[in-house]
Amino acid sequence: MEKFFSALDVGVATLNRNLAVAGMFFGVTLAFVNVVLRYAFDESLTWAGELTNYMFMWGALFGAAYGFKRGIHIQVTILLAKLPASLAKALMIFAHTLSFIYLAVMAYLGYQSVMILHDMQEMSVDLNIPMWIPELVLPLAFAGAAYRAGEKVYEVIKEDADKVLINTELEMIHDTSERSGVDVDVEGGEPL
Amino acid sequence: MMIATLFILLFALMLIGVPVAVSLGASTMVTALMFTNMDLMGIPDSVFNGLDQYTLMAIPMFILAGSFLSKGSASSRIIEFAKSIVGHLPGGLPIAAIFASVIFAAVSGSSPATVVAIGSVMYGAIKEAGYPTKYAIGTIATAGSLGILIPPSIVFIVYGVTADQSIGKLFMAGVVPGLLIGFMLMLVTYIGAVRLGFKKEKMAPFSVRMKAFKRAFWALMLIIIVIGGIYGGLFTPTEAGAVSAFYAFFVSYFVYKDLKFKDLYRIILDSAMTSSMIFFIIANAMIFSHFLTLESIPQHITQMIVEAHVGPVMFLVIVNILLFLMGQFMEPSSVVMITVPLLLPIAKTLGIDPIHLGVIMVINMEIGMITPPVGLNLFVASGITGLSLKDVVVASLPWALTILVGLLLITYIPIISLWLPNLMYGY
Repeated sequence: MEKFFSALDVGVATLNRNLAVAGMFFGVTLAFVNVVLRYAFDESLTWAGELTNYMFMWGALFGAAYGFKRGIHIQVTILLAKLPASLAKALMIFAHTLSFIYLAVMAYLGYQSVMILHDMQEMSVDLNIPMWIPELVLPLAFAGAAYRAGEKVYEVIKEDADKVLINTELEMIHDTSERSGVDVDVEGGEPL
Repeated sequence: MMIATLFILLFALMLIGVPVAVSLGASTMVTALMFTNMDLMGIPDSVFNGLDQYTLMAIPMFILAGSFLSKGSASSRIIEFAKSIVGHLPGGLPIAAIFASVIFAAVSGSSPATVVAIGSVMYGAIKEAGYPTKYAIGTIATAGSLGILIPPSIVFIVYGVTADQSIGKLFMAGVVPGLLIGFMLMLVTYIGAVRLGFKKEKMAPFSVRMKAFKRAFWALMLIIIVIGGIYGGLFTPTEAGAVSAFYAFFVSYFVYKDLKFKDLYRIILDSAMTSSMIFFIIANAMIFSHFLTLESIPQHITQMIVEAHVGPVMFLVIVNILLFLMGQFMEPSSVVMITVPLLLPIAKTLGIDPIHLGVIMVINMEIGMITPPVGLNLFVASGITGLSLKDVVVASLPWALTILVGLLLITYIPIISLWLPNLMYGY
């Protein structure tokens, strides 16, 4: 069972990550090609704008789901840092559980919406594809994010109360700096 | 009652550590279920349509352009150029760090990226030249915050989309305030250095300056492409983003040759993560603003303000205080998404230009980035230097106060922001 989950974990993370990178890459390339076409050949692809949007939206939302693993989503930890460790841990379990429920509800609403669009056979304006296809990103990405939030609940429950918050803060410092291109030794940076 | 519940829930969730994006969506959903019979099925559509805007796509593209340039030698070339121009003054090195940050802000849309690009080189150099550590830290952490004021700017794009204002006009409105604050920071550094007894050195000869300019030429050209391209009407801001990203890749891969093909995946992933964080906040904030509009909450609040006889000056004081407080513990895009739907209708009623309001908001966000607890720039500066956050905060204080003075000037003298956009676009 443990093994199954770790395999699923790696699979979901890899998929989310690669979709994020692919969306970004193709989105920017398409937008650039369209500018070149307009200036060099005096004609632009009418559907390019719409497709660029979808590329970036897919990329960003799957990236957001992957981001729940990397801890990119800004959290306020100022209050938690001042509370006794066991209370902070309880609050964090509550916070992650709440995130899980919300994200799962969003995934469900997204699924319902996709079904409605499918039944109504609505088409997109420029690409002329069924609208439910691009909107499929909502249930999929929110489900991915919910999965991550659920995993976090499990992780925090398992973790020692004293370490829970310290880990979160260091993750944030490390991550902010890493994404901006510096390698920081997280042990050295002392949280405020 | 409903409004109070919504905001109390929102802040309560954030305080117990629920990610800001989730707090926005969840508090709205709960409030809607408690007080209204809002159809939850409207939510996915408002999220999807909220993100499905071509203007927003400029965000990931400018972030990508910025990371191509900050990974390579472009930043050190810009620094060398800045040093050759102002390096001879007392306080020359820290002043050059600020000057280089102003230039780098004009090629990248983000503050933390500017801090890294300039700070990682300049921190050691400033200290070696005999300046107190305070100078090294304070200048790089604060001047980096100009990244979101000088175009291209991610926060202006988020503001423009939320407030339905022209991104081109907003970008233009950031130019003069950005230069003004940059100049004020340099002036404070200069005065401080003179007091510390630093002397004027020999000015770099013209030939050296020319050489430094040539070495930085390709990176500096990006400024012309973005600013010139948008104002010359050649590109929309989104197209300018796409061109910048490709140009930045081209320069760092083919011209400066400091980008390896295998780094490409990593760089795109990093930019995707930053964009995802912002997009996820926007996605969830759409639920929040959808609800506000549905319940016409902004109109109620506007009416309250008008009935309380709050004038424009008083209103701007409230705005500054409110944004200052919120900027303390939230990231700029979330603050903009939460406050703009409420503040904009009031500002319009009181006759405040939405473009001017945008500039005020962005400078407030800048101050938020260099004051604890969620000062992104402070995190980054602490990461580069290995000093504790507390030391970084104390060191940045004189420069942070300078930006505060700049904010007051720009808030109460609208012409500073509005002169350039009005000149270019007319009234």
